[in-house]
Amino acid sequence: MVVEPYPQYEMIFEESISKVIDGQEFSFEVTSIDKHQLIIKNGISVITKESFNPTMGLNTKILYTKSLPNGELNLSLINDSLEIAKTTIIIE
Amino acid sequence: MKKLLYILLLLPTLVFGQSGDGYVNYKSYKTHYGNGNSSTYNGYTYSGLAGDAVELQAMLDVNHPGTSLTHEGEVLANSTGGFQSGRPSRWANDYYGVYHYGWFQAQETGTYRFSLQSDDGSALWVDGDLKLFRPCCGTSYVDISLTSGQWYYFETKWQEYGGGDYMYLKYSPPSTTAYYYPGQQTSSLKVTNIEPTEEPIDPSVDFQFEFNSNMEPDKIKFGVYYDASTEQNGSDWLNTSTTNSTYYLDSDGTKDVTDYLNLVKMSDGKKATTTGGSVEWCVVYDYDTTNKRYRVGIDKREFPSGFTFTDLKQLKLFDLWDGEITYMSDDAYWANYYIYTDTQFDFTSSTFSSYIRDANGFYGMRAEFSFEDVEIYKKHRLLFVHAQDLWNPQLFIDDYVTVGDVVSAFSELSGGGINGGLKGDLNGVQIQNADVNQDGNFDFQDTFKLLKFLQGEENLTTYQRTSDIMRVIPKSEYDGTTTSNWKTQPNKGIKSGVDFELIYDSIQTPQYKVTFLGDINFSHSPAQTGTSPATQSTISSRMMSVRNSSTQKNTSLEVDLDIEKTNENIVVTLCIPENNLNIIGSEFRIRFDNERVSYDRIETTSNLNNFDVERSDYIKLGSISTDGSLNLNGGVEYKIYFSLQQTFDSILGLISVTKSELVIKNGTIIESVIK
Repeated sequence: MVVEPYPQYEMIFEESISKVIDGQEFSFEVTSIDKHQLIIKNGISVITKESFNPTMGLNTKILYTKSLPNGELNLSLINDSLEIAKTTIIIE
Repeated sequence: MKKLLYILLLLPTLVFGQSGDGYVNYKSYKTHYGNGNSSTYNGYTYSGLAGDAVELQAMLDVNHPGTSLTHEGEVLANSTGGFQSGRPSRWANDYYGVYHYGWFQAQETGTYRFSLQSDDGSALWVDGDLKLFRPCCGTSYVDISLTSGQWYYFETKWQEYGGGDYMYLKYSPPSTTAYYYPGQQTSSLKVTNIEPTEEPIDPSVDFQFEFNSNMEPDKIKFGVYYDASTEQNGSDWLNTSTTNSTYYLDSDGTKDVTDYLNLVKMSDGKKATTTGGSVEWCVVYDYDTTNKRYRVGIDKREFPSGFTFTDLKQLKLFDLWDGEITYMSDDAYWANYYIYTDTQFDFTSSTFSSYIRDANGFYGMRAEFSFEDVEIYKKHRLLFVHAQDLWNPQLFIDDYVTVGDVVSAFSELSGGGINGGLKGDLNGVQIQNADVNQDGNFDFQDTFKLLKFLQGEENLTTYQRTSDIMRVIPKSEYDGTTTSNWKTQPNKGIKSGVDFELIYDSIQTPQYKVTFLGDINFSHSPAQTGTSPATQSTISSRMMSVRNSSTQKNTSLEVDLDIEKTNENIVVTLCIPENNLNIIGSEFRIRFDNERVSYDRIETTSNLNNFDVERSDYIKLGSISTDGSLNLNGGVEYKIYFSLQQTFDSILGLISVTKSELVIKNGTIIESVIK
């Protein structure tokens, strides 16, 4: 049986789960220019994060995977301590 | 698992045809001269009714003048000629005896109850042992433990003097109280009158390795090798596969290696076998109690021409000895050997005693010798091998030898108080693991070696290989290792494989437990059966060959993580908040993308003994107070600086925290959550 790989989406939070590769660009929209955070969790522990000041509307970031453990991880977008978007990413 | 297969072979000595399944053989006799008279042979007299099994045997012994064989053949076991009344063809209805014999195979393991009911007396033997004698007239029972699949030779004898005549043999299998005649229910007992012969069975070896549940045994590779020291190609141990194959364990740690064995046998000298003769070709000197051995001399005229006397390795000497012998010397007349045994021979009770002469200091043996070649299987070895693709020993060592292990080691060693000695928290295997310099003692040399390893100043072992850290220990030894005997256990050191011998017609299931040098808190080792380790590490990272695990939870502590980019650096900040947990050890693992960033330095507010060790794509860092005099109750901050190899608009995923361990003085792990 051939297992189809998960597709890679530019609008990553529009999918519940997606496979990501090293250096992949992904986009998302924000509605404020306050400081935001992207965090990746393995289970309940945060393993990496990035804080940034977004531009209003569409933002594009790059995800590097070489330091991340293989498997399923949770990617969240945080604004003012509130999780405003989340998805599951798969690293192979 | 291989099943026993049986081939039924005809017994050439029998003159009647044999049908096999369901049948038994019989012989019927005229007894008591056919008229009720007593018979005397060799000083023994039988008369009317058999009073015991000896008298019954005598009645069916054709050496007795009153007894003669009249009929023989086969009958269905489950018939009136069989065990439904015991009356096959016979000369008359009085003064006769019947002998039934055959083989039965138990279909269940457990206790079978047999019953004999007869008029007149009867008896049952199994594998030559008298199990039951029933005098006239009634029923007697006997319980016999049988093993499913095993064949047993059985015999019944009974006699009829006059009047009523019958014999019933029944059995009740372990699974029911119902009784059946042999041959009536084959699902519980099979019967045949043809001797079953087992097909030769090759050795079978099914290993069982027990790992810590964190481990993934199916990521661990091994090879199977055989002792090739007798071959001409130089190497002592060769892979049994011509392609030098290696294999993975099954996910539960087991592996049937039967298909990987080298079953080519090699010569192992000669074996001598003796039979009774007319000349004393052999002498056995009195037992040497000091050396626990007999000296045996064999007249050289008994050996074939050109025989190499040192080749004689085994001896079957009547029914006195059947086993190995050791060459001693030979002269013009005698070849001398030693038999080492803790048990002295019982010459007088030997069935060959008539061939043995006690000569006051030695025994003369009227024995004839024959010689045969002895072939044995080559010794085998299962060896775990380094599988770089799935098993990175350096990473693995960093995963299982952590600040928790070092704290546990120091705590154990210093816990004995002013009188010295150990604290008593660790079991024997944990102390063996703590003896990291492998000098047979657990002392401060070991704890400082562990500390230097934690600080990156010294490797745990010379080479970072599986074979340098793995300890494969027989399960019984592992579970039986205590704080008292750990120094004298045969497998106290590093051992990444097991030697084993192949045994003909045997299914071996060797059981081992696998631990690792330096795994003092048993984070990656199985517990001893019946005990639990004093401490157990938290496994927070998803390392290769290591599963995530639910961990021993004590108090949870949140550790703050911040990652920010400056013009020149990425700065990772880990902050343990103020607490009252008396944490004396911390360790974090920071993985980084070594093609895009490089490790620069660390800054910390900790006043403990701090460490940071750079590996190829991760660093481990933390703090430790080896004597427990300092702690992190006031909180601590670690700032780890990475230099950028290029410009970045995004840094997500360039650096990650994959391990966090906080430990208190007795080695207990405090669960931590990175926020």
